[in-house]
Amino acid sequence: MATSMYPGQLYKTESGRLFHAGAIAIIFVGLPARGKTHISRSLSRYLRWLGVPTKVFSVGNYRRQIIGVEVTNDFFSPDNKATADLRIQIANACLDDMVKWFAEGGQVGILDGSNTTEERRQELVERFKAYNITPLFIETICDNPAIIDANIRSVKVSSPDYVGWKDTDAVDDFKRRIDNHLPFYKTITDLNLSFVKLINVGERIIVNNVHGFLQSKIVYYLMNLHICPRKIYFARNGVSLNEQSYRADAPLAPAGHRYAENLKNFLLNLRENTAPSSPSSSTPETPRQLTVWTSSRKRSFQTAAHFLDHEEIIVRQRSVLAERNPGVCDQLTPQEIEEKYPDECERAKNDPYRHRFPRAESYYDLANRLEKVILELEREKNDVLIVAHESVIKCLYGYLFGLSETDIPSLEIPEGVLLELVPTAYTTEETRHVIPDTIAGVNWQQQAANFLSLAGKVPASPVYMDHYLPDDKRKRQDGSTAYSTPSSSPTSSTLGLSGSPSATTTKQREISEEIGQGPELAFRL
Amino acid sequence: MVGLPARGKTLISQKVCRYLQWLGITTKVFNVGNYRRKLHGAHQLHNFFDPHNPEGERSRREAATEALNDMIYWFKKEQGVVAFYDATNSTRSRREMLLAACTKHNIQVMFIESICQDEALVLHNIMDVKLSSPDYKDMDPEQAAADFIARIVHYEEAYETITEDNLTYIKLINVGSQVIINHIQGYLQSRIVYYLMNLHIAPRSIFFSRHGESLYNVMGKLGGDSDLSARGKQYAKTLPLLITTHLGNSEQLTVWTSTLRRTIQTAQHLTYPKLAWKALDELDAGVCDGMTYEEIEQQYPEDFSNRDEDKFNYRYRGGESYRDVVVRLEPVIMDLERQRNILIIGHQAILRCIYAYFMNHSHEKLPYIKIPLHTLIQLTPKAYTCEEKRYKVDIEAVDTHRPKPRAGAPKTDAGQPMDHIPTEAEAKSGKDAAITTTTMSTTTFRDSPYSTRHNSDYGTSRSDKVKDKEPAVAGSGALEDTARAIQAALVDRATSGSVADTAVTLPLSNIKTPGADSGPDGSGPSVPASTPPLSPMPSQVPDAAADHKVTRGSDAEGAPQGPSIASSSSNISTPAAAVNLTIETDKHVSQNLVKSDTSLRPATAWQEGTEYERTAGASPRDPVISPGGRLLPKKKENWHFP
Repeated sequence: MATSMYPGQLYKTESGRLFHAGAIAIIFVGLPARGKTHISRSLSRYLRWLGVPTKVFSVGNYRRQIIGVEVTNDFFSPDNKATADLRIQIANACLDDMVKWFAEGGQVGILDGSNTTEERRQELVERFKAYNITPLFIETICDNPAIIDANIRSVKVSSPDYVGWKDTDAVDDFKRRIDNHLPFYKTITDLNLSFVKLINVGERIIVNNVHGFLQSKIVYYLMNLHICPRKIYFARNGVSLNEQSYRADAPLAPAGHRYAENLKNFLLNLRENTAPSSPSSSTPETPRQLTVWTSSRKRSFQTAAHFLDHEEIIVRQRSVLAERNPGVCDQLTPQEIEEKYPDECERAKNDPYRHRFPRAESYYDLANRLEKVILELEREKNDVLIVAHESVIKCLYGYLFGLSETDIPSLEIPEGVLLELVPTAYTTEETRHVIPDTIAGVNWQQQAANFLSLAGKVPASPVYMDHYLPDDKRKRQDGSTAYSTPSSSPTSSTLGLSGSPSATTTKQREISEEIGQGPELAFRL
Repeated sequence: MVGLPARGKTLISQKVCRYLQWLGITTKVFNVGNYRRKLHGAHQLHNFFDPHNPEGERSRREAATEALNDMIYWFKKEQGVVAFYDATNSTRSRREMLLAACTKHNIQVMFIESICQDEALVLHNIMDVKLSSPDYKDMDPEQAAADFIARIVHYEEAYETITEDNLTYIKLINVGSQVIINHIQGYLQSRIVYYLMNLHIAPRSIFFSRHGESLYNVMGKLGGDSDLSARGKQYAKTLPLLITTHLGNSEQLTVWTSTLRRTIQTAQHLTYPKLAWKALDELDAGVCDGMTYEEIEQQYPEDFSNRDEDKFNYRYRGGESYRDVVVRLEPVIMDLERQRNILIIGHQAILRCIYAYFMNHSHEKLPYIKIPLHTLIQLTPKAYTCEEKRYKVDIEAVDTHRPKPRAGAPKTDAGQPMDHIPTEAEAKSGKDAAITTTTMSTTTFRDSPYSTRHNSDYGTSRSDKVKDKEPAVAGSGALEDTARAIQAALVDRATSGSVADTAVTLPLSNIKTPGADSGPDGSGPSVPASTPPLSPMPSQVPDAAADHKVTRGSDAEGAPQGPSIASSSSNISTPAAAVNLTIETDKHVSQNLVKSDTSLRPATAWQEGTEYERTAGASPRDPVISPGGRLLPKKKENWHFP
């Protein structure tokens, strides 16, 4: 293999081989309403986010496309010879497309169908093996009627098949559809097959003959998946004393502390006000605990540290949540980057997601680094607030919405805004709240004192007070309150990397003048 | 742990323990067998384990209870996070007892059951490991095996596999060919399962090498993304031969590099599949990147001394600490566990972390592990040991190792010559680039029941010895063959008693074969037919010599000489001709690496729960942080460790 001196390119070529796995066909097995569609969607979202070319082939969608939505129960009865051919035809159309897609370079194809008979499974195995595609079966078994019922009501009734139906009718119809499958359903018993059995949504998992890194990653992901309701909040970190430099890792500016305090007050208020009056859910929700995750970069965890005065709130610091390393672009303005690295800028414009400036991290690198956070996020049942840098939030947000890699770099996560996300089976709901500046009247000295009084955890040393000396930074704080307007303020690692530096140019200049002594100050502290 | 004897319970618990310790999670294994030996002596025959023997039954329960009490005490006293209770726990009543005791102390219980229906594998395990256990010291192997099998039969009588579906358990059936996972709770548990699923026991070698000497190395600067120096380039050329010599030609290998230029350049002459990992990039020195140690000392004197105080947790301003690197390397380790032969061309800090994982070094020692330039390290993980060989290529390089300074000692000695620098005369004659090989076998588990062996003449486990000395294996060049040969030897020994022992000849220290390769285990005197010629053709010798002269003469200004060397070695058609190899095989069993109990619990600040700021190089206003990365509220009694 030729050794390329172009790191971005090298990574891109090699990325398909990252997991040393060839093509994998994931075949779902199970009765209707066992969560196959939910799992396949989540899984494909995860794999695609990892950079693995993944696609879901849903037999149900093919059926709806070919013969329309209006079908009766008889259609699904395996006894019905008249429709049997048609059903086989539909399933094969789906399968053919899948095989074709593999030939075009797909790595993981997910076949979302019921595949309940052994003959059908054997047929699939032979078909895929002929193309050198590794089959992996995922069987979802559910013997808890409550879970099935909940699934039918929440997901199936809203499915395109039942548009315009009365809920109770739809449920009954669907249950009959399940009954039709029941006599022909055989659980997987062939131990030669690679399979994963998920029993009652991850309560028990049986993994048989599963080899390969990517496969074990898939199993690991399935282990962490849950379907409990919860909320995820995102907020950017406050303004630091030196926004220009990644390396300086400057502490929060006074304005940043004020923002942090506002964020805390706003979020706690929001949760208090919405928790008791949640009319949408019929079941009484027990209030979930709030956990705050933050990176080990100073401006992030100092923002999150404001939550520490509420002792029931857990604040966790994770070094993997650190922002994207800008590499050689550190401390450079977009113009300077353009001047110094015109070639790199060109490549960055062509592939903003994967291009890596010398010694920097691309979004792809960041995504890989964030993988374990994703899995922990999947597993977490508490509500989580993630206080991090914009680049990190973009990546996590991109994951939760299943965005493609071209969308992630151009996402906008404005400052001074709290994102509230509620993941559901098919989509993720998003609400954006502008954080009001509720402590605008408080002067900076009072605010510093507030922060200090939070604990003996932050000793009030003279050095510490240096932050709050009334220097020229104070003007900025009293003036525009940069954090509370939802305009995207430039930060070091978005410079030039997003490929649209011109919009932020003037403001950039302004700030760099204001905090010209930033790095020095940061080092002295 | 649940399972019959010889099902790999100890192996699993020790491996997971090592992994968790490496991640910085306080973990300990409590081996009930050790307690039994302590209480009732080692030499108990199989009837001791008969469930119908009330005396034995009582004694064994005593040992189990004592281990359990110790474990619970450890959780409380040392704020342990994960403990392994390593015993057969084969009956339902015993498991109930454990569950009740742990639940009472608010400890979550997860059972890991290892089931193995493959008779051959069990037999292999008995031969490989159990016969070297202290229980069968000074016993005839055949007799010992028979006794052990009888012991298993006793356990089988009372064995009840886990069917209690309300428990959290993992069943590993036939070395992971089937895994059943029940009621897993919590991230850590799922992480352990994931790790277990990635383990394999096929023999393989892991090679480490740092990149060749870089221009920044020569200048004594940290970090950067510089090119290789002339000597570094020469090392890169030597590497393919060095690898084929010690791996064998037919073996598969994957090369992992970082995304930095110096490792990619070092790998450029290798023809194996390559993969560049961002996660293997060198520790980010933040603001200190591109500085020399002296400059750092001048500009950030406080940071500099902080780093020496607790190098593992010290985070460079705007950069990373070793702890951060460990977290970042975790996916690499996970992938590494499931790979076969791997060559990692990495950086000093990165290789220290990976090396520490395999050799089970504590976090205190980790930042001071010696990974010199121009040295290939080969690790061969075995059940309870990890065999290490170091091949030092005689191409000079600066020493970038900075030992922990003692009071009064000079602050830095980077740039000092290497330990085994050849004499001036040798350097002048410059005929051969000698490769010095050092071999050692180290137990990688800190309190393994089998570690006691390492103080006696059983430096390696029995199978290792067979492997090292089995003449049929030498030169076969394929590790699979080796494995098969071991299997054969074991079966042989199992059936014919001590015959195989006599077939064991040729201790490694007797082998001194200049110009020959040492086979996959550094043991074989014969050269595989396919190995390229190792002595240069006579006509090439002067050129090679000239190269070395040029290189050696250019210590300080090595860089400008680069092109001339490249051109003068243009007649080197194959890398094989570049150097003449002299192999001195020196085998010794390292005892100092077998850790005593005192080093079990490194008293790092994180585990003690003292404040973060002093140790981690953060500023005094940073909040207090627990081992799990959790910021802590002000009241100490509210601190919860994950």
